[in-house]
Amino acid sequence: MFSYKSKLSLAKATFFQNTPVYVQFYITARCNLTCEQCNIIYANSDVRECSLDEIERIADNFAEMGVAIVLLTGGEPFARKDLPEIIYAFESRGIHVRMQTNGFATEEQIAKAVESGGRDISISLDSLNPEKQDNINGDFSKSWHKALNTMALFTKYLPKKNSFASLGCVFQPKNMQDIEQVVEFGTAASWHTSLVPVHVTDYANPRGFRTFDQSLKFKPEQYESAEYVIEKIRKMRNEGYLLYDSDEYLDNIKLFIKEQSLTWRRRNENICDSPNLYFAILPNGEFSPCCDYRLKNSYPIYNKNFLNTYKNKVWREEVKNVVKNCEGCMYGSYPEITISMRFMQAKLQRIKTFLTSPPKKNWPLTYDFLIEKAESIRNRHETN
Amino acid sequence: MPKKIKFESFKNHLLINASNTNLITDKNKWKTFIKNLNFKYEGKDFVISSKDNKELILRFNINNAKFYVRGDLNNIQNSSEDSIKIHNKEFFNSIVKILATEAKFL
Repeated sequence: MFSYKSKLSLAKATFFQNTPVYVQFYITARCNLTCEQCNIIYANSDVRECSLDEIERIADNFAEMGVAIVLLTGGEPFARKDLPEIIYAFESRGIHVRMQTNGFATEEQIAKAVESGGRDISISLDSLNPEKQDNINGDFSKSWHKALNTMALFTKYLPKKNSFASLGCVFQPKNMQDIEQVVEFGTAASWHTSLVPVHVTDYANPRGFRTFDQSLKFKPEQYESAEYVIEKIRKMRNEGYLLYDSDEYLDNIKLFIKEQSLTWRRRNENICDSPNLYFAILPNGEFSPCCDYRLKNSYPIYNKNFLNTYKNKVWREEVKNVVKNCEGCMYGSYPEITISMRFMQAKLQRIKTFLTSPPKKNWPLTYDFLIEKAESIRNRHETN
Repeated sequence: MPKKIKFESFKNHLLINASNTNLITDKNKWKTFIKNLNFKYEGKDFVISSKDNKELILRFNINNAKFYVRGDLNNIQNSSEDSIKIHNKEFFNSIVKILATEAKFL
């Protein structure tokens, strides 16, 4: 699934933690859903989007910098008409593309995305209860059904070998009793599940991704139930269910929801590894340490001189001054990359997931099969 | 009900600029003031009011901000300068200044 070049960058990062192996590229802020826990579609709305030409120049710079994986995210990435060309721009330069969707992609779009080289997809799914999912997505009816249809289409077009499919699941009070079901459902479809706890902030401390909706926060009386769910799915993962999250990450989810200090950054003076191992790009192509913070100055990554900027000590100090003041996040990929690069147990788990024991895939799966499977899992859990 | 994306975008960028402003000396008082703001969408207007100060009501035309400018329609001139971002930054900074003045922080 990964090119030789990507594997080399990942191996180098494992030893030295100084190669930007992972980049989150917010290619658009536009989205056809308004999920209640997501604020990034508003936070990134104030800048223009890159042109394809600029994205190709970003891909040129990435190839020189040794970027191994680029996540094309949004908004809804499939809202961009030139998504296939964007995927090709990175894949043709040996940079692995992870695609993300809320499930509203059409069959034609999915076929073109895979034809352009996309082999890695993540779809948002928070519950097996259609009404609850539609509500989480901002009260868009049939959005749960569309997500399952999109899952089925990806199993039709993605190759069984050398591909990766996952469900991105936001862990919040509203759906915490459904998480076990989502993991079980994903496993039945040969899809991994990855959790992100809901991130909430207030008006005086705005962050890019974090919602202002205080009602979504875990309350103290819910902590015990939440911890129970985390331990339950950890056990499921150890029994072979396809949960992507590492032990260190699951432990930190428990700390995060109780608003306690996070520990996943402890091997790097309690700051994250941006920009050494990862960073983000705004829709207009400018560098950003992550989805929550921006720099005061503008550094477009499509400029050739970004290669020098990235190595510049003054610029690195500017980034460090931002990230060192961050209380820490649990957005999945950033913590998991730090954990994978700095903790041996997680490193071995990743090698198993991608190289030695990837799941056997019973693809293609039909939409009807997925609906039936979801209903049977949901009914069984409700009866119990 | 689906959220109104222009309204939410407006709110978000007002709050970000309010949080980053250098105009205010009493940061703690400002933070408390910001936490206690209310926002409404009326017609084309973004309406700001305050729980602390019942007399404070400000209205801004939501369409004066520029949001969601597409890059996939061949209408983007390649340039290192993002004029949309600059416009929005100046616009929201001016709103923060009005807000701070009306609330007697300046």
